[in-house]
Amino acid sequence: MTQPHFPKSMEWFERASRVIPCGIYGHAAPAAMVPTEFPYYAARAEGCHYWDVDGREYLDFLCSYGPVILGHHHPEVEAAAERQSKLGDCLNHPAPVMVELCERLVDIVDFADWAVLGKNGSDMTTWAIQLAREFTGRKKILRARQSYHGSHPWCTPGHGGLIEEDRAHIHEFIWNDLDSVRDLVKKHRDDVAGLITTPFLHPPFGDSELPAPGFLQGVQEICRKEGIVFIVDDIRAGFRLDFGGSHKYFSFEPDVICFSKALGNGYPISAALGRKELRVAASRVFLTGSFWYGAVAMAASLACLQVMEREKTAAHVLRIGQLFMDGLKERAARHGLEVRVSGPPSLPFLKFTNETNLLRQQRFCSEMVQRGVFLHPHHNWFISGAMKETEVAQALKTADEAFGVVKAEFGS
Amino acid sequence: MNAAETQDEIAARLYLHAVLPAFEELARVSPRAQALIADWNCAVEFAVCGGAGAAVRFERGNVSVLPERCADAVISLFFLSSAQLVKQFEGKFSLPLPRRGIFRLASLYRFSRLGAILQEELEQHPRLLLGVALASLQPLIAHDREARELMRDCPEGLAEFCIPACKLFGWVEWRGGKIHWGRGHAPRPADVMVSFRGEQSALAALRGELDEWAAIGAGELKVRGLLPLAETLGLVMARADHYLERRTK
Repeated sequence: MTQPHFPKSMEWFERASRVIPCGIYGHAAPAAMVPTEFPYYAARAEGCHYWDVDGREYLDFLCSYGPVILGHHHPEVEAAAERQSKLGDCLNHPAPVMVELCERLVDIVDFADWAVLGKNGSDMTTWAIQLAREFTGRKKILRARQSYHGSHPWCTPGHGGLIEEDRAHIHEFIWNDLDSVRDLVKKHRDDVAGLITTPFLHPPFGDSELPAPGFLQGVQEICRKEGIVFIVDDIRAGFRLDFGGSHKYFSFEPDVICFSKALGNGYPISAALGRKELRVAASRVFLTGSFWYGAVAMAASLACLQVMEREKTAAHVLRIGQLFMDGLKERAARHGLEVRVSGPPSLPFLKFTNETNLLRQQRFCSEMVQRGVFLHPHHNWFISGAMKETEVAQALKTADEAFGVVKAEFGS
Repeated sequence: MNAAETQDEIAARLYLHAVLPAFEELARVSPRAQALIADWNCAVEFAVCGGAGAAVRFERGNVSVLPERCADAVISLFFLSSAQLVKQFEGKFSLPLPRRGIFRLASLYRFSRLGAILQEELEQHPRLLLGVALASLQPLIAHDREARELMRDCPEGLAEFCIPACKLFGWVEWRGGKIHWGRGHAPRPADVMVSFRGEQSALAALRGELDEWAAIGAGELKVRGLLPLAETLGLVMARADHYLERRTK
């Protein structure tokens, strides 16, 4: 197949590069995908489809890196947002919808007695570790090696502009290794304020790793025993495993849970919820931002929660994801290719077994993109509620062709 | 050992083991350098008290650099500290102790001129800059804490760097906690290929003056395969600027 061209994407990128460092920075940077073989700019989206600026249509298996859980432009969410927009968005005071949303969230999350709202995941993870420090009077924060908790200095995967002091009190344990947690707690006894973890590990470029039996429960036990605030960063996985939070899916109970992404079906909102004992400390940790009281995103979030609960979206995306992954494995095998599926089915990822250099992965995803199915080569994928069996069948048919190209080019 | 001494020690190692070897390539690509060393048969040793050492041997127009001290060097310069050696390489006033060749110190003037040529040519030859960048990896990973931390999560593999417009290739292999590198094509298919479309973008990248993400998006810089390996090696190479450039800026 001849290489596709994305002339309009490239035109926009050329213009961007004159005035924007990186052209496109952050997670959407072309450098993170397969540059020149992937589109750079999106034009519009609907349901589980989107169109790039060159007019190409894609089945969306990335969902804007997670936020779009119900599908793009969901009518109920959009209607709620529009209604609130007519009333007002950025106002001198919070709108009543803020109270309604926090009440709803506290109702949904079993252990929570209070909720606060922000705009992005990093807002909440950073605030949560401050909360842990305020509550305990301690300094140290434990996190899993290769985990992702946002773009603030204490956790950014970037390298520029950091100083040693940014991470002087951040210490890393090994995922699924309770002994490494115990060792850190022992080493910093009475000085560990909080432990933050995602419900499963999703390192960039690598296989996702589910928690080993007893791991998160063991972490919970250590935290309770040592007076450490146990924070779950459910920003990526939230509402794609269980409507009540990923701790329910994996049967453990944290002290604080952070949501964002799927919480607003694309509208900018994040939340942190916690147990009663942390309420006073939470009141002492300052949080705000110019747009953090934005009422439109809150109204969208309330509608999104309503739809997710009614349509049992978590169960749906788990089922559809499983269908997709099973199909991919089966089609790869038809071509004599061995693939490895990792992560929960609603946030799946696939890699070629025994491949150490990502070349097959990049070729496979490029071929899928060229044929109208958007699969990221280095980041876990996301399933939305708009994705149905028909779209999965279409994606699998495309995968059949893409695996054929990989087989022809690499042999195995 | 205080932080400043550590900086000087690492800078000294970089001058000895990454910059000094560039004289070999300089003798191949620069007519001015060739003219200067055509009739020069001599070895110059640089040694830091209790620390690193290296030597440059000039022989009938060829240059070879030894990564350690050289017992038969005609001129041996002994530096009481890394800071003193760094000053020497930066062209500042420095008074090393001449352990051997005290009566041939005039030859050092020729060496200084050669150093000035290297400085000028480095700005124009990606071949020289790439050599310095690749050679800097080993001392940085061995002695720079941040470089070691960067490599901690780096996947093993073989990287090839190329500038096809200049027919320039180099490779780096990170395996078993060790770095190996060489000029030319990688000894086997690389896990990641880093390719510059043009000489100017390569020069800009090697000087640390390129918006690499924008260049990648535009296709000026192509990276395929094991991205984390290429990215980490790039970040470690950039650490050399921290030691070699901050002093002159």
